[in-house]
Amino acid sequence: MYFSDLRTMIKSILIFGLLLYFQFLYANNTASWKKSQVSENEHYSVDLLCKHPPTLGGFLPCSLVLSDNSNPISNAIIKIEGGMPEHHHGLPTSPTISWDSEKKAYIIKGLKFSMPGAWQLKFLIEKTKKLPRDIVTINFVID
Amino acid sequence: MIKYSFNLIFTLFSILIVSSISANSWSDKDIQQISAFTLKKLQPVKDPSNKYLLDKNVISLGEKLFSDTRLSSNKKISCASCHIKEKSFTDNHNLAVGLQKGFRNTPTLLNSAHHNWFFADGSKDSLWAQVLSSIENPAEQNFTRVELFNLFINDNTYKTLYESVFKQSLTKTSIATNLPAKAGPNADLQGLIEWKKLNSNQRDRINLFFTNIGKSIASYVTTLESKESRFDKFAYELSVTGRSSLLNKSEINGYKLFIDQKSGCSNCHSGPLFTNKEFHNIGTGILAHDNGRSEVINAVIHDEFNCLSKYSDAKKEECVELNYINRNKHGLSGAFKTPSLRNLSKTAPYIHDGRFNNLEEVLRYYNSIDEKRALEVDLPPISLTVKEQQDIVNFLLTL
Repeated sequence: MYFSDLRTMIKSILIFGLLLYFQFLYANNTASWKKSQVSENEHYSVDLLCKHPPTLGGFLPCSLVLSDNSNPISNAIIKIEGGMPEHHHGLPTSPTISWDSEKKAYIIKGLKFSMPGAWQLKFLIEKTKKLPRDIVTINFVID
Repeated sequence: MIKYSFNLIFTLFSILIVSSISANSWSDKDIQQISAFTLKKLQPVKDPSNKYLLDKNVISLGEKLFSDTRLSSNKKISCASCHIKEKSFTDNHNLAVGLQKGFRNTPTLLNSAHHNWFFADGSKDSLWAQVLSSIENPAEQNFTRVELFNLFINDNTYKTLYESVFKQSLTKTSIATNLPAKAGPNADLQGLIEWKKLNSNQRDRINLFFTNIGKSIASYVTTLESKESRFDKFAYELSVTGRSSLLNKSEINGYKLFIDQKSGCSNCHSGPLFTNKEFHNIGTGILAHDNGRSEVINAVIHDEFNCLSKYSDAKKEECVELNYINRNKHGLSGAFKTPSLRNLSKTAPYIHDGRFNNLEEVLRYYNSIDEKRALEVDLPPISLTVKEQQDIVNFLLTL
């Protein structure tokens, strides 16, 4: 018999189950679509992470990590805009972006895309006492 | 001899036709793309704001009410007066005619529950809120919510049905001892004065009754779905055998043009209902008359019967469309909801105000969008030959 005794077999099953659980957790915490971009005046770099690549129809949960020379920046005042420049229209919804201290990221809600083609998302980082104003533009295409 | 020659010519002719059809070879990607437009890909309707959506008794009540002309001030107009079953639930008039002539074309109700917004400008965020608006609209049924309540307490069939499905007792004195015959916030002056005389608790109970009626009719309307079209059957044959002769050469060319950026049709007319359900300015709005979405954004946000209202069955987080509603009035000036292209052969005239009597006129309008006009609207410049336009029309008639 492969397993010398019952105890070894149970141990193996438990380890296998634990591995599966961690893999599940990892899969659920890992965004499957990521875009990185440096801001126009190079004050910041951002990572836009979304649950899946942008598609037509449903809402797309995303988060944004803002950093300055690799140091994450929390509590910045960020505004989100976007649209299809070639079609002269904006986003079909009014998405929100807010800092989530637990997830250490800015959570974007209400993001949706209505047409195939070239889209643009713009993040405006407002000027504060500590932070300079800058804009990050992320371009992508939906097939 | 003549017979054999005829047979030979007929066989050669058939081979020619078959070879011309099979010249349209479809790749797996093509078939997958076609399949995305079929009814099989349509997701079930969800409306968390209406917990009665699938209740058979509620649907049955809604069906009765849909055709009841007593739900109008002159007792001659019902929902079914404009949404005629034999006409794919439209009326084929340019502009709807209820108690007065309206300013919009009657849309088909087939598949309507799949939309996120209702009316051409999306001024309602649920089918039941749309129903209530039509009942009280002076140009449509011109009825009041108190008249509707009085109708129910005096009609034993309705009263019994209502009480059994909504578990609420309806009696003459259950709201007020001297309930007026007619009252509502959208009524004429006398009806409005009577409505204001009711206290907030009485108005609230009338509203609860009224919304249950709206949800009943909406639940019935949700059952109205289109059947598989020739296009769906064509797509099915393609997916199974890799070929189909259910669409002719012109219709296939029309489909190819439809999905091509040369026409840009499928940019907005996407998915199984050929609509992205969003709002776009294609240049048909009229300032100070009917300029579409931009004029109703505040109204829908503050609507007494919207998804976030106390009459909705949805949790706040379930009202996603309303929570993230596009508030950019400037960007939505002249924008109307992308209509579905299903059943087009039965739903003329077209566009939100029925200004185009046939699809050829619609295509001619789109084809008039040049470089200059394209800067003002959500459309690219479009340049199609007359034959190409006709091919697209022929394709649209297969849906």
